[in-house]
Parts: sequence; C-alpha cells; structure tokens
Amino acid sequence: MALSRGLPQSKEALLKSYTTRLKDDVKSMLENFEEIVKLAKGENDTQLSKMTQSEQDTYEMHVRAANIVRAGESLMKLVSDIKQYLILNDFPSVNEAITQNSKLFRTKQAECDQKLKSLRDDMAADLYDLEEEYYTSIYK
Amino acid sequence: MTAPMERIQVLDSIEKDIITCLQSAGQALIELSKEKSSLKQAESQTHQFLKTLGHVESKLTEQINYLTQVSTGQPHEGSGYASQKVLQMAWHRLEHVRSRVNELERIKNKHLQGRALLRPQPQLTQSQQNGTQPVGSATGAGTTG
Repeated sequence: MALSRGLPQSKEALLKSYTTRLKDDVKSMLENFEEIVKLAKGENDTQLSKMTQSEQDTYEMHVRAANIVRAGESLMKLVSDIKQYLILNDFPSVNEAITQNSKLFRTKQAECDQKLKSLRDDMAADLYDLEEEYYTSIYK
Repeated sequence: MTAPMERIQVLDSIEKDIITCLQSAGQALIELSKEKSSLKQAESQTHQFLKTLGHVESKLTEQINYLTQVSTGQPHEGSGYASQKVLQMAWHRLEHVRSRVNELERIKNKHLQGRALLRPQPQLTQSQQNGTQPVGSATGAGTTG
C-alpha cells in the first residue's frame, strides 16, 4: 500500500475501479450460472400452475443467461481498458520499446552509411582511373 | 518475445480464456437441456467453466497489481524521434546518391547510343580507319562533356 500512495488519486481510483469491475463481473457470472442450474431442477411444490411456473422459469433463465453474457462482455471491455492503460502507463515496457526502436534505427543508419562509404571508395578508385585516361587523351 | 509485447500477449490469452469460459457455460447448459443428458459431461463442462473463470480472475488481478506498482500518474515523455530522424536523413543520403548514379547511367547510355549511331559511316577515309578515332565521336564526346 505504501507504493500506491505516490499515485495521484485519479489513477488510484481508476485501478481500484478495475478491481471492483473484475470482482463484480466474476461474481455475476458465477451467481447467474448457479441460479440457472438451480432452476433446471424443476421444483414441483409451487403455488402457480405448472405451465405458469415453467414459463416464469424459462423467462428467468433467459434473463440470467443474458446477464452471464453481459458480464463476459464487460470483462472483455475491462481487458481492453487494461491494455490501453498498460500501453500508456507501463513505463518499464515503454522505455524498453523506445530503447529497442532507437537501437534498431541507429543500427540501420550505421549500415546505410557504411555501404555509402564503401560505394564512395569504389567510385573514387574508378574516378582516379578515368581522370588519368581523360587527362592523357587528346580531348583534354 | 520482448517484454512490452509479452504483457499484451498475456492479455490476449485472457480474452481467449473469457470466451472459452462462456462457451463451457453454454455447453454445460446445453448438456443439461438434453432429454438424455450425460451427467458426467455436464459436470466436466461446469468444472472447466469454474476453472477457467478462476484462472481469468487470478491473471487479471495480477495484471492490475503490476499496474498499481509501476504506474506513476505522469505522462511518459520519452520519444524515439531523434533516432528516427537520423535514419530518415541516412535514407535521404542514399536516395540522393541513387539519383546521381542513375543520372550518370543515363549519361553513359546516351553517350553509347551516340557512338553507336555515328560508328557505321560508309565514307570513312582510309586514314581514319587505320587507328585514330573518327571525327564524329569527338563531337559526340564534346556534347556529353
């Protein structure tokens, strides 16, 4: 907890909200699944007629199944938010990515300049021969 | 796999686990809804649903704890622009050299074409054929020089 004291309130609240969302969604999925399985038992001692009770149970199962799917989608959104937060605020990873990219670019630049230098040396050697030929010819 | 991508890969696998979780729950309920339902199958699907859900929760909690430890609340001001600019300038140097070499190639080809046109002249004198270069090529060289 001492580490989290350095965070501004908004970031701390945001991370806490992620934890809350996670717990709520997992709890919702578990509870709704459990209730559907309980409804599938089909208890006979009810005050309503069988038809009405089965209609009610069907409707309740539909609603609970929709709740499970909603909780799953909410978890997917949470993962997406965590990915976004990670890209923006995970400094060790961002620093490493920047260092790697810088290294790659500088390596490519060094290769490029090395090739240009060797090309320059080759052309200078050829130019020497060409100049010698030209200045000893009748066209100078 | 680099460390920045590893965490994103872990989150991708968590997403797949959530989908697997929902599928297992669906399969368990389909199994229960059959006329001749296999209890063993329903139990194994339910067990898989519970296991995957626990797995998802623990992994996400781990990610959130890591973020609590490393985030500072300040925006990251690092940039790869300097090295990017250096590479871009090297690329410009390369393109400049390429354009100059292409220009030399063009001049060379033009000169060779000019010589090829002038070479088959039926009225060359005997002295010109003996060793010295023909006059036409001098004018050709003069124009390209």
